This record gives sequence, C-alpha cells and structure tokens, in this order.
Amino acid sequence: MPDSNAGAAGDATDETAVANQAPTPAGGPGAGRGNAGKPTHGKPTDGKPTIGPLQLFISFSLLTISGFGGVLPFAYRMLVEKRQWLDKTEFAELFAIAQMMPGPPILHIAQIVGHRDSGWRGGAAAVLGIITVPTLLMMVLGLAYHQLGDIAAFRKALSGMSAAAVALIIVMGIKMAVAVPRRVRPWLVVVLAFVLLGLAHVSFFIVMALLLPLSFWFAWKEPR
Amino acid sequence: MDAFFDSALWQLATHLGVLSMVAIGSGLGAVLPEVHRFVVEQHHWLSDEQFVAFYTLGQASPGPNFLYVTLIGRHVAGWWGALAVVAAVVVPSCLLTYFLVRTGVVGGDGRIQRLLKNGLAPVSAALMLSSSWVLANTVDKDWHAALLTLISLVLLLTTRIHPLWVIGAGAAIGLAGLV
Repeated sequence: MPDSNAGAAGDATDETAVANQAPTPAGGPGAGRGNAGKPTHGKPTDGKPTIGPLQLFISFSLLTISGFGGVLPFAYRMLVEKRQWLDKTEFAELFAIAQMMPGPPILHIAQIVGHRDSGWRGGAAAVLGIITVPTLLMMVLGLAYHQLGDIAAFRKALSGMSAAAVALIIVMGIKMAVAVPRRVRPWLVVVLAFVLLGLAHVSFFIVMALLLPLSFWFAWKEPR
Repeated sequence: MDAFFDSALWQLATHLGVLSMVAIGSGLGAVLPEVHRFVVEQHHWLSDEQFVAFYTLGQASPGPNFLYVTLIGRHVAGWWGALAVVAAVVVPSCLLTYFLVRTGVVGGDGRIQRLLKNGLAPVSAALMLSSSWVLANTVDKDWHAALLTLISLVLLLTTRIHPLWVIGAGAAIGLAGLV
C-alpha cells in the first residue's frame, strides 16, 4: 500500500489516515493496524498494510532525534504505543533478542522491525533512519568543538556537563549490576572483570578471553 | 597499500568494528574503557580531556550514544574518518542481524537464550561499571566535580528526572565556574 507514506508528515494523523483509507469490514486485514490492541487478528505480519521503507526511515528518524541520553525508552513509546507496529509481548521479545546480539541494540530493533515489514530495504531504511540525522548533528557538534574548544566559557560548560554525564553511565552500570543474579559465582565474575578492566587496565580482549568462558560455564551449571 | 593499513583511520575503524561485535547488549557504552585505552593511552590520538568532551557531547546530543565515535573519527582522520567509524560500527553488526533474521536463528531455543543471558549479564555489568570508573577518574579531578557527579547520580536514581536536565544543569554549573 504505497500511499501509507502519505501520513508521513503528521505522526498523530497517521493512524486515522490508515483507518480511513481501508474501510474494510470489521476484522478485515486493512483494519489490523488501527486496532492492534484487540486480540482478534492473527499473526503480526498477516494482512497488515506495508509500512514501506520511506515511512520506516521517517519514523525511525523522528524516534532517534527525540532520544536524548539513549533511544531505547523512546522506542517502546513509538513502536508499541503510538504506531502500534508491535504489541507489548513482541517488543519484549525483540528487546531481549537485541540485547543478546553484538552491536548497538537499537539498531537491531530497527533493522528487525524494518525487515519484517519490507525485507532488506526496510531494514536498511530503518537503520539509516536511526543514524543519519544524529551523525550529522555529531558532525556539527564536532565542528563547534573544533571552533569553540579554546573558549573558556565553552570549556567550563563542557566540564560541568561531563561531571553530570558520568552519573548517567554510573546509573546504567548500577542497573545492570542489580539485574545480575545474587549468587556467588556470577558476582565473582563481576568483581574479577571490574578489577581487571577498571582498576588494572588489562586489555579488553584478554579479559573477555578469560572471563566469558568462565561466566558461560557458571551459567551452564546454574540450576534451572 | 601498506600505508593505508598503517593509517590511523584503518586502525581506528577496524578496532571499533571488532569492539562493536563483542559489545553485546549495550552499544559501545560497555567497551568504553577499551576505546579509551586504545585511543588515549595506546595511540595518544586524543587527550583525556578531549575523550571525555567527545563522550559528553555524544550523551548530550540526540540519537544512539555510540555515535560519540563520530567525533573521535573526525579528530583522527577528518570528515571521512567520522563516516568511516560510524560505518565500521554499524555495518558488520547489521550484516550479522540480516544473516540471523534470514536464517531464522533469531528467536532460537529457550535454553540457549537463557544461557547467553546468564553468561553475559555479569560480564556486561562489570564492563559498564568499569566504564563509569574510568570516566569518573578522568572527569572528577577535584571535589567540586565529584560532588556534581554524586548529586546527579542521586537525582537520577531517586527521581524520574530526564537525563537531559541533569546534563543541562551541569552545563550551567560549569558556566558559573563552580566546577
């Protein structure tokens, strides 16, 4: 359905546009996306109108520029609540999968959602949506740093921002540590890895080569 | 050709590419100590201060946080360097995802997923904590800065404040010359 791109400009009107252009009888495939909350329709990909690469690119671009300090929380809001491209369970599954794959998780979520919709073009469009605008912004910031880096006020502001930004990453570390099972062996791995990487500055690859097998062995022996 | 493989850009791009493949579940946040070790301690491409500034700008700018590598790439090898490092991080992991989606491996069997999760959780948590430690050591040079970090930390943990406000407040406090 190529004209689903027509709703691209206004996000809020998108859903109604889809509902209007598909006045099929109740339960018809066209109505699927509008009432994703209802359990009446079948599998997620069945009979949904195609979103299309352009709409995917635009939607993920909008998502990424609203994502200050991490995009993932905003992904839930857009994918589940606003666009209803995924239901809660699908999002949770996708989130878990993305967390287990190498590379930035948000890229995997975007790519899988895009791929399900319109193959590799959809996947590529969604990933490009996530990175294009922020990369350009980073380049502008880089230029600003290059030009203004010697100005005292800019340096002062940046050092204050840095001190605050460190707290963000500490919070992330604490949240991840809280999620580690409270047993001796997993925590032995946490402490060992922290001492080797954070305190002793041992090379990342050496630490991974030593500790990943150990950690997997512990996980293997964990009671179910 | 040798000159190319010896170039800073090639070394940076391949290193970041490999790191993005092993940084499971966290973008490049968790491998930050290794990025720092590589570009600051080993190659001296950036000073400590520049590294932290780039990381902070990445946090303060919208989009995925790993894009702070854009600034490192630009600093090391110009605009093409910036594009090359983003491609180095994004392309390999996207190809892998494509492969996994196509072959149906994504989804997989519950036992393997649980094993992966339980095995990786302690390592990723330690990586993140090490990142915080390395950054905090670089940034918090005096007690003013350390106090600002501590107050931000308490705010973020105990309230639902948006991170951007915390960074904005940090900028204001810095401008006022308090840090």
